[in-house]
Amino acid sequence: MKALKRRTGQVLFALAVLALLIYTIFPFYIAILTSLQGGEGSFYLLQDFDFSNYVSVFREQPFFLNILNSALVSFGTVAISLLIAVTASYALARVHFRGRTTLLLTVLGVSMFPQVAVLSGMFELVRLLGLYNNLGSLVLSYTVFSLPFSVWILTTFMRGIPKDLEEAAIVDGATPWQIITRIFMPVLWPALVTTGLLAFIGAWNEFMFAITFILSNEQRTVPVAISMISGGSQYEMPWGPIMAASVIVTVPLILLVLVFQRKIVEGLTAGAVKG
Amino acid sequence: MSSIEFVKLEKVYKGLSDFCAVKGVDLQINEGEFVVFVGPSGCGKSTLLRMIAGLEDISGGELYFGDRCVNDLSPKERGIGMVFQSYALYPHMSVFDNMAFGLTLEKGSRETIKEKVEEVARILQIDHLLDRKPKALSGGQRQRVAIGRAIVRQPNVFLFDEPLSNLDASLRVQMRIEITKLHQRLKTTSIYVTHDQVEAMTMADKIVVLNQGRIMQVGSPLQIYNEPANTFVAGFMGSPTMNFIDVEAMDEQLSLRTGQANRRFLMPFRHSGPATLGIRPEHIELQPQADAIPVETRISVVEHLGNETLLYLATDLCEQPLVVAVSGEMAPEIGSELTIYLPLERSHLFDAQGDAVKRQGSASVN
Ligand SMILES: Nc1ncnc2c1ncn2[C@@H]1O[C@H](COP(=O)(O)OP(=O)(O)OP(=O)(O)O)[C@@H](O)[C@H]1O
Ligand SMILES: [Mg+2]
Repeated sequence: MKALKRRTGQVLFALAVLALLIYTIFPFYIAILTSLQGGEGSFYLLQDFDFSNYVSVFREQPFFLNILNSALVSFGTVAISLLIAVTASYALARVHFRGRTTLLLTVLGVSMFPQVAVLSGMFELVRLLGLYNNLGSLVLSYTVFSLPFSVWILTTFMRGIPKDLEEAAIVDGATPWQIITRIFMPVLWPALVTTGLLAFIGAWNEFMFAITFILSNEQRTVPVAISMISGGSQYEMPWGPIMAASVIVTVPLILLVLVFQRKIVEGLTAGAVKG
Repeated sequence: MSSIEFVKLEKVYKGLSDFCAVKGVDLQINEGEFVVFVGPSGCGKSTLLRMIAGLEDISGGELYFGDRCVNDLSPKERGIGMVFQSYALYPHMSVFDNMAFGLTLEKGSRETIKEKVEEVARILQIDHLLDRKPKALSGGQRQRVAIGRAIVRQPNVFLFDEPLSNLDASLRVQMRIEITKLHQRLKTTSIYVTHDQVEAMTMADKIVVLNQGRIMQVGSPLQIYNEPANTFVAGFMGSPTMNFIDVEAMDEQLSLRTGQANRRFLMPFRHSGPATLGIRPEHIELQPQADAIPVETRISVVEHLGNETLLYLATDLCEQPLVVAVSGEMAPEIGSELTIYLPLERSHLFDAQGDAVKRQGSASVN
């Protein structure tokens, strides 16, 4: 009786897992499937490996350049926002000054604005700085959007670092910069990876700024480039090439996540760092 | 190495309401001395230590290392080494790197750093742990590494903030002895903060008793024990604490407030007016004595500590029970009557302000 009960429990659990798996993986399965099928085929089953879609993605447009642009913009965003976020959160977590809490709340408040709300303002800024149709405009706007989150997360983590640790470094003769780079950054490494990766994903997938600030094909980033893929006629959606392109640009993300997987979990779970 | 002098040192924490944590402290610490700060929690020990370290701004007064005023110098410029209560080891660095960190920042050559670290590691017997990360060490080992990190740069002054309070009792005794030995070997001026009186008594050349941001008394351990300057020091140092009895003093005579109020005792003090008689539990006698006040009591609580037994005695002399330490063999019965004798020769007299009255000559029962 007991065994039966346990059996049923196991079966139900397995079914639930299966349902969840199908639910999450199905869209990707369809994407990969579609990308590998030239012309018509069964919609649910893979019949042949046909890489013509992948070839056409690179032939029809400067897709390689688009990937390079995306990488450039994403890495630039990550580097700049991490640098600013680390130094800012050090100040917010460790230096006493008037209006610290207000500033922190403002930072969080800023991140509540929807992108559209700042689009026109950002456009003015970009024009003012002469960055129109330049990848710099994207790095600028993505940094603005990833900073609040990064600053907030890193400030929380930095507050978790025992004060003694910092003071030990001061007694050892370290300057604030050395404290940040030699003590805090290594200790905060999981948090840095997590926030950096989130900034990267945000920048890699962003569409609205990318289509607004960039004009020419050669400067485009991947999401916009994919949306520009057109079929034989106006009424035909070229699903094959679109899915092929999507698969291509998702692979780097998946690789990144797999590489840093352990660190991300640490970063998301470990609130404080034990001394 | 250097001597240290505090001149009217003050610390005010600014905030919604300013809080004065250290109030006009004057103190002279000689070169090579091992000084222990003791006091109840919140009395400003850590604050004072951190002011010496340079981690806390000095709000008023001057601090001298030798004849150099160090008020505005950074911890590094002052040349101090500090051991924190929480060890504060860098978690991502090996033991070697932890100890070498300060030296690497000074841009010493690789060989000299290695040499210095290895020598200190040998002294502290942690040379086999150099490759480990702090999290793979026991509490005692971490503490050694923290001490090693402080001494490897050969600072002028060592500062310890309750370094042993996270260790278990036996390890604490062991580390206490080792720190004392280390001090005898290096002879560096050291300041050690603790609230453990045993540590204070056993380690110190000089004890500084603090209360509410003020120095209550400075002296050698035996001075502090034998000649407490006021009721605070008398009550704080010594375990179990000193018994206090309210008395009336008239010149060289003393009378108890209650009970035998009519009896007068000749005392070794000259004082008039209300006063407090202090006597340590271990000095109270059970046998009749010359120069002792006999007191009728009733045993209310008995604590067996093994080596000795503490008796809590209800009397009509004072509200609190009198505490007496007797030998561990004694097996007194709760509720039974007991006559005790308070030897005036070994007692202390404090005036109405709580300051000790100077002792003179010897006394005899009237
Ligand atoms: N940053 C601060 N702001 C305001 N008040 C403070 C601050 N740091 C300490 N204090 C106050 O100063 C007083 C002395 O603190 P301190 O840490 O020196 O005590 P302590 O003697 O070391 O006590 P403990 O034995 O508990 O460590 C305390 O009353 C404390 O509340
Ligand atoms: Mg303290």
